[in-house]
Amino acid sequence: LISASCFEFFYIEMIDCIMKSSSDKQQAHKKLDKLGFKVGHRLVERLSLDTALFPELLDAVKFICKVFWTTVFKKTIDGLKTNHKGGVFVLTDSKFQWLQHLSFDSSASNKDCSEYVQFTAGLIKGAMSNFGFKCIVTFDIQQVSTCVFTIKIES
Amino acid sequence: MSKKYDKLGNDVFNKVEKINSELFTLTYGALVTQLIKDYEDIEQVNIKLEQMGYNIGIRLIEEFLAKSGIGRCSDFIETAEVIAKVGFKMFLGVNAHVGDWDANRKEFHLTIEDNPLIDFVELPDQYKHKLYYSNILCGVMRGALEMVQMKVKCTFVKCTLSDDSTSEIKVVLEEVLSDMIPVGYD
Repeated sequence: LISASCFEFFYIEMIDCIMKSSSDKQQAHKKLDKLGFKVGHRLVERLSLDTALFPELLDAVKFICKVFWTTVFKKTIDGLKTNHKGGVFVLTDSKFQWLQHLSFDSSASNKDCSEYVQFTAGLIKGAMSNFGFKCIVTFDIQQVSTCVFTIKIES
Repeated sequence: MSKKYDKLGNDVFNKVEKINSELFTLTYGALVTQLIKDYEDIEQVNIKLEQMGYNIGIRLIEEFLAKSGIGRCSDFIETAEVIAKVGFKMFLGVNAHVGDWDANRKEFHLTIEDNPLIDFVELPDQYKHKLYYSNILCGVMRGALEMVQMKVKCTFVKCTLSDDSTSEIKVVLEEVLSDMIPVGYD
């Protein structure tokens, strides 16, 4: 175990480093997504040692909402919704940790903080891929610190 | 003195909110890999990691002072103990030791036990003794100490990833900055 603030100090600096070393926002997001993917893939490997080798799709998503999320954010996902066919999952975190400590300048024109969330979309994708599910993950930041992640399974 | 700070380090670490260190280890590893890809030149990667650490250090010192309640150290020897026993313990949950003081008491070696950054990491041979994988730690110490008026230089002298038996950082006190009032602040 390490202190949570130690990771957060590092996380903020990592985002800054990636943003500055990329030619544009799009490239930075791609890098963050890839970083997240790698970390998610390997982290879930270590977390799921006691889990069935090939979990059902819903079990894999539930694992992410509970075990995986608790490991990374010390809380579970607040809401999980799915469509009838089960190929789309909507995960809501109403107190997304990595946006908690950002301060907003209300006069600034650029209030986008998606770079602080992109890494997490990659984490989810990497974790799902370790369970054998290829998917697309998009996200939406609502209000101050609510994040909604949408997982779309690719067939 | 060492015992007193051992206890303080443990107490503070027990108090702070903690998370799984694997997330940190894996994320750090992924970032280092990305930097190697971006910069190609390993020396540049070492510099970048140190700079990142510096940026973290100048922000982290505030939390360190607030949570540990430590005041001004009487000398550099005490500072070294505080870094090793309280700083490393409080943030990384590990033990570090101070040793190898020079005659002027301006230079010491810090040995880190179980550095969480290098868990399940292996360096390819071509990076051994070239890449200072955990160089971010050097930057953190430099940044944090600069905020308390000490200009130091930190360098990795040994790293277990390069087949050394321990991870060791040399810390040199270069200058004690005077308490100056910032410009335009009367």
